[in-house]
Amino acid sequence: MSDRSDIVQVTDVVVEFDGFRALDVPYFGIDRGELRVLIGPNGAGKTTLCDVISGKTRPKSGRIVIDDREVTDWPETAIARLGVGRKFQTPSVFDGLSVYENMELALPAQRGLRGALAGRASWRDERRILALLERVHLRALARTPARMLSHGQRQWLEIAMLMVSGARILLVDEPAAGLTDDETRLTAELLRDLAGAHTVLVIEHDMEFVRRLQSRVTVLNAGKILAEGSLEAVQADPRVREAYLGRGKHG
Amino acid sequence: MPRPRDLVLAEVLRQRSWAAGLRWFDYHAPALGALLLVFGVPGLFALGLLDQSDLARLGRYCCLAMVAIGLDLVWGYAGVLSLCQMMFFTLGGYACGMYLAMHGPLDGDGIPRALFVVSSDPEGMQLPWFWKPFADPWFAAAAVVLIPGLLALVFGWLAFRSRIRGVYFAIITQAATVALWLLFCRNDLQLCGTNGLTNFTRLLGFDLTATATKVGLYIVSAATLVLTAWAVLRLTATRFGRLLLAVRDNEARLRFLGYDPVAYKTAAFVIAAVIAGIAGALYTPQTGIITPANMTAIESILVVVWVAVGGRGTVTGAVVGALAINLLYAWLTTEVPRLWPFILGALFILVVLFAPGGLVGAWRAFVRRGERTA
Amino acid sequence: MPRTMWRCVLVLGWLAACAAARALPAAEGGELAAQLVRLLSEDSGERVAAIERLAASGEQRLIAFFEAYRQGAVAVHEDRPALVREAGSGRVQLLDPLSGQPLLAEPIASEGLRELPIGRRERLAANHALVRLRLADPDPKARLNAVSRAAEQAEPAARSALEALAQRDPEPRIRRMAAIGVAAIDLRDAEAAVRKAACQRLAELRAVGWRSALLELGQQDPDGAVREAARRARAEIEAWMQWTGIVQTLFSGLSAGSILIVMALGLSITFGLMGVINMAHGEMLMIGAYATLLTQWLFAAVFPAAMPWYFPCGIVAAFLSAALLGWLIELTLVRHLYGRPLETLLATWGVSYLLIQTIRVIFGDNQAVTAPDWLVGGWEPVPELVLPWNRLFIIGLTVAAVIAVWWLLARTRLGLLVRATTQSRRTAAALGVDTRRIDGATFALGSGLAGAAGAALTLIGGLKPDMGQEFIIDSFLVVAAGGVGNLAGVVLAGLGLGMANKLLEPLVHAVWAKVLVLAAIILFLQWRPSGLFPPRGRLADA
Repeated sequence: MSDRSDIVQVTDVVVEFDGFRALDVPYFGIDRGELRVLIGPNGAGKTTLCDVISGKTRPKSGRIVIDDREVTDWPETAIARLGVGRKFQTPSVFDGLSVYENMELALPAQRGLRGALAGRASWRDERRILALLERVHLRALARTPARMLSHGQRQWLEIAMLMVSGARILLVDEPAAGLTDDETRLTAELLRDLAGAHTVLVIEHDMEFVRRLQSRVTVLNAGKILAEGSLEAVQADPRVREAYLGRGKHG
Repeated sequence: MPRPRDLVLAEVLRQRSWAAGLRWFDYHAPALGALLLVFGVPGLFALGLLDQSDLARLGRYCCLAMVAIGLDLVWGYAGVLSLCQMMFFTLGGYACGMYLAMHGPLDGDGIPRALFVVSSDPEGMQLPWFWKPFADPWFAAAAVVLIPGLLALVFGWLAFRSRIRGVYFAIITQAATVALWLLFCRNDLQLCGTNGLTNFTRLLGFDLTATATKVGLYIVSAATLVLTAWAVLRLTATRFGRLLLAVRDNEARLRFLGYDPVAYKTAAFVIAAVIAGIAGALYTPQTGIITPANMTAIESILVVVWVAVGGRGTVTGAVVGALAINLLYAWLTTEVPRLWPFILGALFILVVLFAPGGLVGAWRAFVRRGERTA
Repeated sequence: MPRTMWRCVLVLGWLAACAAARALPAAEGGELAAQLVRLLSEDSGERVAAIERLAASGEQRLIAFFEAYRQGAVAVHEDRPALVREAGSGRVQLLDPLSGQPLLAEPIASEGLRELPIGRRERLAANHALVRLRLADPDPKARLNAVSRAAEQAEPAARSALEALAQRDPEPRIRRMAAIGVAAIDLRDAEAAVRKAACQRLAELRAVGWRSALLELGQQDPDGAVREAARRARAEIEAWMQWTGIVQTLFSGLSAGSILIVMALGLSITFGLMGVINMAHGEMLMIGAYATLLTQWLFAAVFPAAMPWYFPCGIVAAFLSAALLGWLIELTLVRHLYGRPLETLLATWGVSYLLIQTIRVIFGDNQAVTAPDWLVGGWEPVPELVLPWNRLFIIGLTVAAVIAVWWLLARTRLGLLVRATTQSRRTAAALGVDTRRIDGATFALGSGLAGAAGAALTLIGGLKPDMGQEFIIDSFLVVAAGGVGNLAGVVLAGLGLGMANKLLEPLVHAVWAKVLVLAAIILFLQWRPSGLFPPRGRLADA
């Protein structure tokens, strides 16, 4: 299974919380430009896997390689600068700033102190921002403070921020949670478009949404990888059925 | 920023509309306030409507308002509550005070009189080595900026790096203030213990008791306040300012966008410390004394009260709050001295509970309502 | 009913003993009176013998008599000695030497009174008699004082009395002090061998107060062996002092840390549950201390008989009043600022300021609680190491508080609800937990603990309106270093901080100790940002 060409390689990673083994993955990799979906029941370790890749959580053992660089001990800022973008489970945008300013901060411009004193974004960046806002139907709200946005709009703003940030690897945690059907459809479309130029890892519960993404699926359960493959193949797997039905809740 | 057409005074006067006047005033109030502080007050003094003690008091309040601006930058914008601003203020004050003491009356082998008072062994006393360079005004000026700045840099960097924030940071800064205050109260630090530095006579060759010097010091303080307010306003309008707001709203998000919040928070903290240090240096010659009492824990909390009452996150709010509460204090302590602590405590609780926007927030709401009715 | 019968027997026996005790002096009265009359004798040898007989009786009532006798304030009245007391305008009252009752209805003129014959030998004998009588005081406290004084004076005449006490006194502390006294007297003996033995004896007894005497002896004694023995004895005592000093310091650190632990425990619970710092937490301690003071006043005014028991009631009153106040603060203030920890910090600071001012207006600046008698003094497990009862009591109270809090959180339903709310407020609320009531109860509990700490603090210090201020920062540092909502961490960090402060104090000044401890904590947080026992998993870095 180990494939040297994978852009994200998680090898022999173990994460423990007070003796509880939250994650135990011999190998997990994502190919360059791939769109991958991570599913699994609650507490399966999906978010923890994202945390490990983005540097928020340090594994007890194992190594993480991104784009041929070992980043196991890097701080999250350095990993982010390497091109790993992240959308959190609960939408997190900067409430005190306007939609446009949120986008502006996400630009891959100078992120050091010196860059901070520079002026506004260039006209080219501005047009990119406005075009992206157009796509997520936020163009008209560009000057509105982000705290005024609805839940779905915040989700989109966060995805749009990822898109403008120049990140090459996107970790997207539950992008469809709390969205209407129309919004869900648009979100799936966005993510499919992003794949190819970007490598995308999506965590999702909503099977309808996962089906729309038409991508490879990895199933996590109790911190371990249970199955990998197309959605149909995975759903046919008796172990996956047991993991879901055995708990009798999610499915 | 383009200036709305109806904000031109002539236009407003022609319209004769109450709402337009209100908006005009709202837009120009900061500039009007600045003019009043820098030119109006000395004018009133020249006309004899203010006496020398009023002028000195206003000069001191201008310095305190600068501290409030600094706190507003770290607390109002970056969301980092610091309870040690008056510590930086006092450090700046001491740097200036040491310069002044070295040029005041000297006893023995050129030792400032304040040092003699607290020494248990005045005979054969030597001037401590670290006092000597403060005789040089350039060195003292550098110390005013560098001592608070470097302390803030080291302390802030260590604290922010280990992700001490929120209430943790607030308490740690208060602990630092208390520790330094205890230290400055000690006589063996050779900074004159609880008596502090006093006996100042000359500043850069000017006689501190002369009226002209006093007016000059006032004008310099007021002008520095206006300049600081303007500079911080400009700073908050840059990308740096937006990043501070982003730190306040969601620090984790910022980190995953590839920014290092530690650098921004430390920078804001250092700027605030330097502003406080300069304010302290201007304050000292006007009061004629600087003591460790200037940096007790409560002093720094008072700065928070000013900013909270004036309006957190707005530079004008910090200035208005600092001036308003200090003037209120000056008035009430002469009228009903025993009541002041209760008024202060109650004011504080009520503002936090019921007026999170402070005076400026209330004013903005008032202006908006005026616009709606117009 | 055998039980009742036993009781009757006991009561009867006690009554009989009392009667006998009263009858005894009456029977001896004749002998004492006869000896007193002998003091009028013309023969000096006779008089001294009488004094010695009187001293041997151990009769405490004779102390006043001998004091007067020494000063020549005893006259002859109807062929007996009588105490003379000035009654003003040249008149005096004559008193019975034993009972102290007036012998005459009216004061008489002082002229014409015959003084008792007294010479140098009698004075000396009377002095020794006084020492011996005092050493025979039935009250152990007074006896210990007398023994200490006798040991200090080291009069050879007191040697036999001291030796008797050293062997037979029921109180071990008195036996030890008497033995020290004997050795101190022997230190001046003419025989070198006796002096040498005395040095060794003083070393064995850890006689701290005789170091300078030993130093002198070690330099000036004519005999080389004695000098050597004195030097060795002194070194031995000093080594012992060093050891007890360390234990004493550790003990003070332990008790100082104890108060901090109780304070920090309260802070840790509220901070863990609601994520807010109650800046008025220190004032809860202050309120507790003043509640104890009020309890004391109340007992003094209303139930003076129950005075020894005011302190336990004071602790309860302190806990309840602080808890009530904490509950009110939560209800009126903290609840409305939920999710805004910095605003809560500021608002509760306002409360703290108001409380301090209010108490200052009511009580003025300095007050003190008198510790109950049973907490005065200390436990001396080994010589020269006194562990004060009040500090021991504080440590005991802390242990009880920690166990109670642990039990409350780990074993009761309220504790379960508190822990559930701490971990996920929304889930707990969704499951039907009334999180607001939990908040209120927790805040009350945390404040109550601070109040109890305040009651304990009155045992070792005075009351000031701002007494809580110095604790809020320290207890927050304990919470920060120990980890939020972590019982074991708080206990460990509290002990650590208390110990560090006390251990550094002898080395550097207290102020520097504070600065060093603060620096250490900041550096410690560099190494472990979330304290000793950081929370893990989903709770971390939320």
